[in-house]
Amino acid sequence: MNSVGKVFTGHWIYGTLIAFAGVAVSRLLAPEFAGRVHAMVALAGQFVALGGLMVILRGIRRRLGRAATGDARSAS
Amino acid sequence: MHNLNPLDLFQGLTTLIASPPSILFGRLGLIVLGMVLLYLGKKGVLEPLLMIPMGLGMVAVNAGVLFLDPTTATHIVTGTAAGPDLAAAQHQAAQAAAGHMPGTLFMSPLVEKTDSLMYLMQVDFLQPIYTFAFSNGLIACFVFMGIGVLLDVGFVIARPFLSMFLAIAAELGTVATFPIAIAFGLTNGEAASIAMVGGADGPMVLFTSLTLARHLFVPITVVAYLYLGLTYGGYPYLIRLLVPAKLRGLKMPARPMVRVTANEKLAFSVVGCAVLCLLFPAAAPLFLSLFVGVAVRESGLRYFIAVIDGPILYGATMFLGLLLGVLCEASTILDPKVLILLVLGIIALLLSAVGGLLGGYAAYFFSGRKINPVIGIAGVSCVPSTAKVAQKEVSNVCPDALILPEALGANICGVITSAILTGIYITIIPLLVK
Repeated sequence: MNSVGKVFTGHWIYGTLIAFAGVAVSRLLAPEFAGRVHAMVALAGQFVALGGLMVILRGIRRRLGRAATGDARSAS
Repeated sequence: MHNLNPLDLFQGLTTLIASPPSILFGRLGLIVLGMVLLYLGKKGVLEPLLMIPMGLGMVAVNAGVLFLDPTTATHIVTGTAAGPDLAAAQHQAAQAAAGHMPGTLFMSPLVEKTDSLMYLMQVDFLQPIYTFAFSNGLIACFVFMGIGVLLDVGFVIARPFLSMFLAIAAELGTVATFPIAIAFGLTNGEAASIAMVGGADGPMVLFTSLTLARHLFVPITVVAYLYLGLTYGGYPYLIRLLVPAKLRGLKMPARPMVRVTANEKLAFSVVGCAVLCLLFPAAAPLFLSLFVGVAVRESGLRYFIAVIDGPILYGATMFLGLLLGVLCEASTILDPKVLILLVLGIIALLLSAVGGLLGGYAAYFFSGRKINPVIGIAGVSCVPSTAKVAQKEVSNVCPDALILPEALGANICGVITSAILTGIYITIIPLLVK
């Protein structure tokens, strides 16, 4: 795997897909409902979208953790 | 010759004497306030980059009032949206036609009609900058672009959950001030605009108030920028009040230094910008400005960085300060709601700081007493002031305790959450009005 592939693994794909799915729920699905349901679905979509971004961040954090462990091993 | 009034030579004084008492004292008070702001800026108590041009602008605009010539005065009267008081409007029109209307040659912020604007742009020297860069939020976006170039999102990515949690906790003032402002009798748009002061982010307050409460954007933005100085001057006392010295000096466990790559930061900015713009199109100019700054920085475009970091950021900041000062003309800013705004602004900032510190305490307990709770105040998004304040307060107790990386993470995340809240307010408030 090249250096870009090593850095950009599954969490980028999953995170981006989840984030855009949240956007779709919020901006496309929610307007199909009225009143309180509209607001609830839109809010849920926004949370899902932000959750997608968090998936990406979690993936990066895990990579950083693995890199740190690797550095520590090679140092010892 | 015998009709010549010597005071006509010094119209700044003549207009002062001819003004009603409220305007007279307002002008004198604002001239003094401008001088005080300039002095405090020079001393470093308040942000000098803003306060020096703002203070001088405030002095000049309140001193430099003259009787406008009939053509200019008529353009101002006819170009401004008519108020509910018809008799007052007729009186003003007659005053303008007779050449007795007081005004300045700086700018006319309330004029809306295109023909009048075109005429005034050839008369008022700051009118072009106000019309083409200020009233459409461009200056706020320029400042945000500059902030983006200065931000290292790597701090957020290194500890995303902690940063996000603290940033959300520190938005307590931005959220809780809204219902308080409604209880004070403000409209939804006005309440949302003043609540944004809790985010401690000037461009965001400017953008929100221009969108939601245009008639009050001058006092709201001035209040916001005046109070931003309090984050530096007042927050240390709040930290000492709410966090005991033993906890302030808590050393956090050392973390291995692993760098987030520029590619990761760039890719995250692209995905984040796209998702946030799709969710909150009303705040898309702010998101684009912030993330284009981040993208330029992470792409290593040295010439763009130099342009955004230098002329754009500092040019926008200088004209922002100057225009805010010039907007503080007594007849524009003396609104009965200003006192309420002053109270609500301080409530918003105070609540945000308390919320941040409560978030810091929560992080301290959930992490098994490893995280220094002072970091919480850095969630208030005044970059980088609150992060520096947090580190300084910790260093005062324990000089070798380092919290700056985590504090900067919360600080930068605070900018993003403030932008998201701006998006939520300017999306939801117009729906509530319908």
